[in-house]
Amino acid sequence: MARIIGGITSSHIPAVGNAITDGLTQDHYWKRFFDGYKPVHDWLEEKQPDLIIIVYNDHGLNFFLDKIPTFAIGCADTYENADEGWGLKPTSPYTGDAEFSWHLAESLINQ
Amino acid sequence: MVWRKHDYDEISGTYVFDGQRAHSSYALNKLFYSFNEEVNRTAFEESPEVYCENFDLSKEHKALVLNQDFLGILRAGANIYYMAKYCIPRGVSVQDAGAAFQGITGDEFRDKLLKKRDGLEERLEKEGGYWNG
Repeated sequence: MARIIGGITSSHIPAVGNAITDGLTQDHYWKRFFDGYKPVHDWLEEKQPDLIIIVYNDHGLNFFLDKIPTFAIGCADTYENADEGWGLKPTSPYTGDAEFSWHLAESLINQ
Repeated sequence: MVWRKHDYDEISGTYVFDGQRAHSSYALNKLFYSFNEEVNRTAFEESPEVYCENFDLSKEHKALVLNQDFLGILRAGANIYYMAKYCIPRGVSVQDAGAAFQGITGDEFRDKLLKKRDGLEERLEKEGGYWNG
């Protein structure tokens, strides 16, 4: 049985991604915000979780108003990102765990 | 049937994106959603008017897009996530929209946010390490 060891939340406004891309994380406006991540990074480094479930809202990239589920679960091997039209530079794709994702989806359906 | 009233209908200075707005602005949002694809962004840049013809926009909504009337577009029921794909490349950010809601410029809004942090450590201490803004 898996054990949930914690939950981490963050503001997710696109300006955060831009600030990282533009190297502004230590800028006067952003410093306090980004410094807040440091203890989280340290904690993750210490705990080394096996899996991380990322929960986020879709910024109008995957879903339009004609088909917009309240919840959707990604079950892919890799997750690509893209410029959603406002100039964010895509970062490298990150790795998924299809087996776990399907396990999660099936377990939730069975409930 | 008429549109149901909600307690958020009359919030001063903002417009809640709900079913009624999603319905009346469907074509407008669909146009903005199309900007996910670079090929569509380029086609729009080349000829905004011709590009708008691909979408079933009302005359009023088309005029708002062609005139870059950002606040008018929000009032018309644009969803901020779709709309940002149109505004940000034109130099208007979501933060500027927040500023416009308060009747101040984007720079004034940034300054206001920065000022808000003054004395944060003291406030945090007073509230036991927690501050909800």
